[in-house]
Amino acid sequence: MQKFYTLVRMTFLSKFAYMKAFWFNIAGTATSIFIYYFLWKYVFRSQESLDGFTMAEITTYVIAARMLSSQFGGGINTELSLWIYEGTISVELLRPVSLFFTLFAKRTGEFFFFILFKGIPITVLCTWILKGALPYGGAEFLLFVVSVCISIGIMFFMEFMVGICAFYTHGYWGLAFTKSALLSILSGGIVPLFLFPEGLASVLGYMPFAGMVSVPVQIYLGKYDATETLVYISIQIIWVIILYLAAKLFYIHMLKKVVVQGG
Amino acid sequence: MRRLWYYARLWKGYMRIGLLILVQYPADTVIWLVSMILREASGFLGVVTIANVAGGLGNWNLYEICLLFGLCAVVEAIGQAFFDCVWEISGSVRKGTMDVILVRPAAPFIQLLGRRFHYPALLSIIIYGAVIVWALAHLRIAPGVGMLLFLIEFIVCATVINSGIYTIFNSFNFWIVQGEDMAVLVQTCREFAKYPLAVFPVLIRSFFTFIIPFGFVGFYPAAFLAGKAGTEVVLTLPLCAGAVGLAAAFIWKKGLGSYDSTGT
Repeated sequence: MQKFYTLVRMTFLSKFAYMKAFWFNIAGTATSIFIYYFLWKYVFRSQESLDGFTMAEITTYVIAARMLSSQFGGGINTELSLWIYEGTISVELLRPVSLFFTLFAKRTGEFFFFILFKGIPITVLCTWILKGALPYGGAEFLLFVVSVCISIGIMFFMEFMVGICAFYTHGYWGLAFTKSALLSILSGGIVPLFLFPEGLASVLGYMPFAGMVSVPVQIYLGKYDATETLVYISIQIIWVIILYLAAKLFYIHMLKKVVVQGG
Repeated sequence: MRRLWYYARLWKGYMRIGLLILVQYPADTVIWLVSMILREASGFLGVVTIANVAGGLGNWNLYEICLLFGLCAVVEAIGQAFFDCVWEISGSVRKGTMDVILVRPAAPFIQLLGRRFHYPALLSIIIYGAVIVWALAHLRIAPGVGMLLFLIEFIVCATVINSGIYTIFNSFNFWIVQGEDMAVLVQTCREFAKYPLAVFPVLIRSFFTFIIPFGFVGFYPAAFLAGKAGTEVVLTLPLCAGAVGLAAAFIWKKGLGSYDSTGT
């Protein structure tokens, strides 16, 4: 636990050191919130509600969804791919703590930094300025927090697997771009999943991607009743377990294949 | 004349290097192909879905929005294919590898661009080119010599504007550390230009017309093709491209002048 705490703290502090760069990142997320806000506002000029969503609720959806999916741009996959690309993975593999452990601690640190300096302030500010809806109730808000926390698990194992793909591709930018574009489409980060064709929407609802954006935001807005909420959170947990096993298998397979470039 | 011949040969060499990188890492090339298409497609999906729900945005129908998106995406893809290395300025300044470029006899900017061509982007040029043709066909805009000439003018000017703006903001790296974050922010702001600017408040619209003229990369030309804007677009496009091109050249030169190596 002590080791974990230290690693989390280290990541947090190193992120903190690049605070100036982070301002631009925050501005970027705010920009994308504004784009979708204006587009939706235009849609709502001619109608009162859309699939049971009011303008205030859609605004909140946009804010929360853009915020949560802005995490897709970061993550540990780039770092992992870079280690593989540059060959420093050999040093990381020699360390006494496992690669999983180090990377998960890093991811946790990154997440805390994201929540503290971007998630909370920008969400509050945008909700206030753009007049978004508040959480449906106290219980919904708590369950939202739980759901977001579980989603780090999903995100981490996916990032891990994407990162490892660098063993096959020997590159890292292409992988990172593909990941962030694909995840933001499939998770409902760009448009709410219910706007997709019905069959596709229900399939995507049960996929792990929805657990990163769509599920937490829908819970926040009180769109799910108690049983649905429980079902979706359980699905999230099941996906974390499945993805963990997949990542583990992939990792073991990778270790047999490891080729370190140069020296 | 001999100088020109020299650059043609140099360019051929750079293209060969790009090709070699392409075949050296085949798996990475495939991922690049996928990523380039997906990056534009994700925004495309968003606007098409929203426009579908609302039955168009403002007085823009779905096909006109597709046309706008296609124009924007083609220009971006050309930038990715041939001008992507302006994004490497920050790394080169920080690591001091700009030295290599400065001691060689060819023009530094050409050398910078030649570092890597992203051929995978050619596929997205073809795909989004097809989107443009498809949208034009649905809009019943008759193809003619005039339109073809305008499309050529558009591609040249918009590429200069688009890549020129990236060059300007990436050149700030010569003076400030980690300036690429600012360039990334500018690139994010470019998202606005992919949608009909008429939907946004006047402040945003004028910002993308006069300050950072991304409006000319998609919105105004698309409006002209769809018959929503007059011939003033045909005239202002080259003017805007000239202004951005000159500004980019000036800032790049100034930046290069104030570059001092890392000393290693």
